Amino acid sequence: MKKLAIVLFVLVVCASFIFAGGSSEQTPSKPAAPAETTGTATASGNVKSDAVSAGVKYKDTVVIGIANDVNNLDPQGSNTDANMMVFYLTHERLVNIDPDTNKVIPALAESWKVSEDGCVYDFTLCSGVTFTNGKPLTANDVKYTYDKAKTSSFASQKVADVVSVEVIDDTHLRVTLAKANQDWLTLMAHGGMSIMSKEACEADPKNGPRLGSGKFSLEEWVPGSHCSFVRYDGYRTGAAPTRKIIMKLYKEASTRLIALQTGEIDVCIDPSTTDLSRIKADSKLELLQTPNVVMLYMPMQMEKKGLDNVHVRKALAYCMDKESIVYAAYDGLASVHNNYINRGQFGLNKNIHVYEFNLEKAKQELALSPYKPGQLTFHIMVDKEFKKTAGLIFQDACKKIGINIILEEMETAALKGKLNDAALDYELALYQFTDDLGTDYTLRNQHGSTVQADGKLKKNGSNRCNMKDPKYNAMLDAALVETNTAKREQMYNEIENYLDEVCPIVPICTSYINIGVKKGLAGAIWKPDAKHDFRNIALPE
Amino acid sequence: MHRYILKRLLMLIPVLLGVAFIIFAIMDVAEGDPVYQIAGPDATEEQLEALREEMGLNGSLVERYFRYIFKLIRGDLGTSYVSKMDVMQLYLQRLPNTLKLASLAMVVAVLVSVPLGIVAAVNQNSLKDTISMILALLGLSMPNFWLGLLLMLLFSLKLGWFPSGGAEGFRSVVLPAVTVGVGLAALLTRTTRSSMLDVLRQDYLRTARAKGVPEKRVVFYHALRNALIPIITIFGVQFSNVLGGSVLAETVFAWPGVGRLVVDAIDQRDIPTVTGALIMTTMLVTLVNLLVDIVYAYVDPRIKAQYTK
Repeated sequence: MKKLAIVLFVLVVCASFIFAGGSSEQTPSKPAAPAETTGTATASGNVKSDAVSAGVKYKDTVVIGIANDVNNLDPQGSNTDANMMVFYLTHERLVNIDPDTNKVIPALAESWKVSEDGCVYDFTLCSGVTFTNGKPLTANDVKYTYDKAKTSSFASQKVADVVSVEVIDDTHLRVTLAKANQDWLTLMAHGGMSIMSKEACEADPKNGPRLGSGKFSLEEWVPGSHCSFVRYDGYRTGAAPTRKIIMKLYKEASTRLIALQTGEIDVCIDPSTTDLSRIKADSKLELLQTPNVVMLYMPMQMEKKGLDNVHVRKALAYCMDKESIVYAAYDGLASVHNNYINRGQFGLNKNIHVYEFNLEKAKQELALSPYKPGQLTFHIMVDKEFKKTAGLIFQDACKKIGINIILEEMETAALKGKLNDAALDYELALYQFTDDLGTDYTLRNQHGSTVQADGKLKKNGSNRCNMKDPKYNAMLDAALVETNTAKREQMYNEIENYLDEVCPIVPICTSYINIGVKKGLAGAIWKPDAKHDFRNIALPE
Repeated sequence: MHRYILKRLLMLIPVLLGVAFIIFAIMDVAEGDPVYQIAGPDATEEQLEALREEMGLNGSLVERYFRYIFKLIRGDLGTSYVSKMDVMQLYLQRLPNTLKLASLAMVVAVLVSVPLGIVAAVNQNSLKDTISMILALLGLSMPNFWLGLLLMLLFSLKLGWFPSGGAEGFRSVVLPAVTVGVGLAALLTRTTRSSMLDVLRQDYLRTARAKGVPEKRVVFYHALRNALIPIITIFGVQFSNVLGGSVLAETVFAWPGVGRLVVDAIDQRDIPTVTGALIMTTMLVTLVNLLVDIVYAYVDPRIKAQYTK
């Protein structure tokens, strides 16, 4: 009897393990193809949910399940996607980016004039703008915000060219730049340049930055749990369709999806790719998918021995099996990327030379360098599982041409710290960037350098490859001031060609943004940079 | 007894100082300078230096440690590098959730483990004993994130009885508490069983039975009371562990507790939050241990006599 009970018990346990795995449908044996996006994809790469309709009654509250915590409510105190989504709700900027065309459109500034030399901007602010506490927003607040940005390590680069901000009257101000900058207005549309209340910030430097003139005001913030916002009924162009928005943190992707399925949340940002079939199979849900602009790339620290040789760098570029990485590390939900700027950015070179996966060419390039097979060993830093997979694929390919790659796994914080550290004590890494602040910002930040007081070049912020090339800087400077659009586009094409020749990084791929929503959700704009816009989000009752 | 409690409370001071120093030393050797984490890639040298000054990261490890201790004496745990919020405020926001989860998980653990352990001991080497021990083994070896997801699939998704995550209302704590409690119950069941087995073999129980005391009274009054000391010890240790945070269960159930606060802070190299939260947790754990010691005295008068000496 006792033995029988034990045997039965073991069988039950085994059966539960087998059935707990679910049906085989949910474990794709081959890479899943991206689903058909249910929203409207715009030419600029955004996806727009259906427009809010006047005849439909909408729910009072929309709950959004987020994957990363809102951890700072000062627009100039961070640059994470989660925080930026908040600033789109609570604050406004002088200008916005049109989700349909990616062009700069008016926001707080109803119009502006640019001087002939491109250095002076005269803005006229919309009249009747108020902060969500009812107090008026004036040109003084814009000046305060821009002046404050100069001291912020997150925003200072965006206003680096600003020489002065002059208040003419409450609704007029003049901004003077040190040099013409065709991308400057794009930078001013970034969440980090959200206009803050001078009075509130001076009265309470800690909490003052939370006050904005957006469609929503902050109701409650519990770090690690949720952040809620209530509609500002005094918004100048009419109140939002939803009274309350809650951003609720669910770190675990499976839980986030279950919460969507049970109806606890209305939007599930970034469900696990292995769970997408569950959304597709659920008649109450919709799956939105759009290629994002989060680019995985491999920077090569150009001052390290071996990597200072262009042929070695090119050999490594030919060893990068991007297709296999997309297949193995992203479950097929990514696109190979060969450009140095992101998809959708101005000046993307569609005819760029491609470093395809080709070990023969890699060997030829290595042969042109002073190094023989077996002489080179590089360390590649990786965090997260998918980057480890990509690193292993790369390691295997490099081994075949005689370059030894050692994988160094570390936490994201440690990787970020090493890459940002002035000591530049690394060789290779797998890293991502999502800059969408204009082509100049991307190229300058990723590969550019600045002349220091001693005449030496110092790499710019995100220049992980440590490229310090006066010719490249000069090409960027020339493109930045060029007013002829076609010519400027051509100049950026040439800059990409030049980068391709120098080969400071290996662009690898961009993935997809996946979002599960309840059917009928309207008004949201899903952005490829993951900084989604929920100002007009609404869900039918 | 009072002197003993006072002595134990005073011993808390060197413990906290030691813990603070260990945390400082560990965070100091961990890779990833917090300044680079917080400043962002565009920061200039001047901004980095200013930030270092503002964050109190200038100076040697010992200097920083003493600066921190002086602030700690005034009850200031510092400001989070990331959220710019007061660390004490951050901790106190999470503490009620952790206490709620820890208490309910312990209730689940005791309700499951004590009866199961007694049944197993009283029926040693029987089918009941085997089933109890297999259940205990299962609870011990089942990863709680997996159990959590299974419970969620059944009770949230299929039956809709409990929410899948968050910390709103009593219903939201049930699944995380059961998840954590089942794991804790496993060890407590085994401890209860072995402790009861030891006691049940004692002569005074044989005497009680010989005198005609009913079996229920023998087990629950005479045996259980004497078997409680090891059970209380394990209970105390487990309660202390849960107070430090059940990170996996907190993550799976989106439960905003202290464990996740610390793990997220470590990820972000938010030293004041890590240090502050760990110091507060150490204090709490020490107090729980003290409480356990006091409970010993009430359960066993011999121990009380020792304390008084």
